[in-house]
Amino acid sequence: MSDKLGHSDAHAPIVSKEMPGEWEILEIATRELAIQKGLLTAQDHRRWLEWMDAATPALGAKLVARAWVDPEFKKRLLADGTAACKEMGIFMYDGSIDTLKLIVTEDTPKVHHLIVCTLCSCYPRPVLGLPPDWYKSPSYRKRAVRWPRALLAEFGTIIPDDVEIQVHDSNAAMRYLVLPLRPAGTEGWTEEQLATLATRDTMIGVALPHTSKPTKLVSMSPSAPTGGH
Amino acid sequence: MIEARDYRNCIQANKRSACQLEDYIYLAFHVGTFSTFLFPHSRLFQSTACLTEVSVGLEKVDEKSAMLHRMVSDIGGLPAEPLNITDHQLLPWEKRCHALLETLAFLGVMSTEEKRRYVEDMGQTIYAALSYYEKWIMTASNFLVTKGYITPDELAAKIAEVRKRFEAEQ
Amino acid sequence: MRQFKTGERVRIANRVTVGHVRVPTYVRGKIGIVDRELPEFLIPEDDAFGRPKGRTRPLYIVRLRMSDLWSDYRGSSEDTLELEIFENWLEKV
Repeated sequence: MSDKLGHSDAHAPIVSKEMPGEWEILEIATRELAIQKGLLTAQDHRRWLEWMDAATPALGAKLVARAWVDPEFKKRLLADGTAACKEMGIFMYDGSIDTLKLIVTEDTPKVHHLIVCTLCSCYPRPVLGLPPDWYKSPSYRKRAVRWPRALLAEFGTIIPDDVEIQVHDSNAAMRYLVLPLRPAGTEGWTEEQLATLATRDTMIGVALPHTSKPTKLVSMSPSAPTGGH
Repeated sequence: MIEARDYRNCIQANKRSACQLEDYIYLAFHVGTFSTFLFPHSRLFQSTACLTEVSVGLEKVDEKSAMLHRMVSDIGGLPAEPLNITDHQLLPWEKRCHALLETLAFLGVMSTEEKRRYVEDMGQTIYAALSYYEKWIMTASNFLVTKGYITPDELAAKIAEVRKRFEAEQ
Repeated sequence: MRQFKTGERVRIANRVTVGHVRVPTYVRGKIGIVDRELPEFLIPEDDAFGRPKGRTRPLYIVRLRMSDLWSDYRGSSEDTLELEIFENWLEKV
């Protein structure tokens, strides 16, 4: 809004009026029609968004930290990850509250685990949140099951030759979480302190937990990636 | 402990494996397919004359047969482009799209497995060209029309209505 | 009655398929070991085609050696891969 001299109104609200793109328009149209047809309610949809927001790697880290300090819990966690989540009050919002769905695989000095879904992007979202773009990328999905060591090296993770790498291709009903090796020098740490070491990448298996500061940051772009993945 | 030169060799070995002849041909074929889509009259990428063998499971089949045998999403172990270790903050519509499909799956309207099939059925060109959530929303609208919950004209009308709604605010 | 037990050697079937299945081609025809018996689930061949009351089958985690999957595998000879295979895709060895 400008006055006769062309000065804009400094008190006018700044509102973004950008026209949404084709795909956002399709999303809005599809969702509104689905609600109109009674396939879901707006409340159902909003609740799911809230559940998505509540699920972050902090939940997985809680499981890891508890397993590190409590050997009996660790046994239960490895036997049935879904039941262990129930025990810890972690909400399996995907409906798998009473069915085995989460499998936790334990790193040992002899075996290191790596998780991938070659066919799509299966990921333990109730305990890790949404997967990063690289996990869903064709490159990761192609390479993890055939060149895991070279792939891990690109994450700065070197697994010695005398340690077995076991790759898990999440191709069916289960979702996987890595229970990393507890780093040395953490004796006497509280569960809360230990949980800070269990980062998302250590629970996928592309990184190893450590007590030193990170030297690399994943680049985050606020906009969507370009075509393909 | 693997030394620096060893994991550099790993990366080199990875690139070497990815550059075997059949893999070049696989890559060229798919570039060719995409180019044929863009330039349908181009004779440069007509490949039926010289099909080469690729591996599918235990079989060696020609590239055209591979399209029959292997789903577009079945890519484990195929020669790979370099990994781009990035992430992005989901756009609001992408988040809403994610919640829409998951809610429909949770309520038993559309199973997750059905969603995957719809994505695969889009075919290689669209599978490669669209982003993750673009594929999901295309699946959702496609699914609703295919199952008869909505008709194509209903969807077209709604899209037009939504567009008008935002245009009025510009 | 489940056909396979933990520790048993199994072969993943090598079938020509059209349409949606969840057995990646890179493991078809390969021999591995049952690592874990999982519950029964609706098979993807029915689930993906809108048949929620379709066939259920026991699911198994099968462990394979990387060196069996890839003739040019460059990692350790001990490296393995695990994935889930439904009973209808497993064969006795």
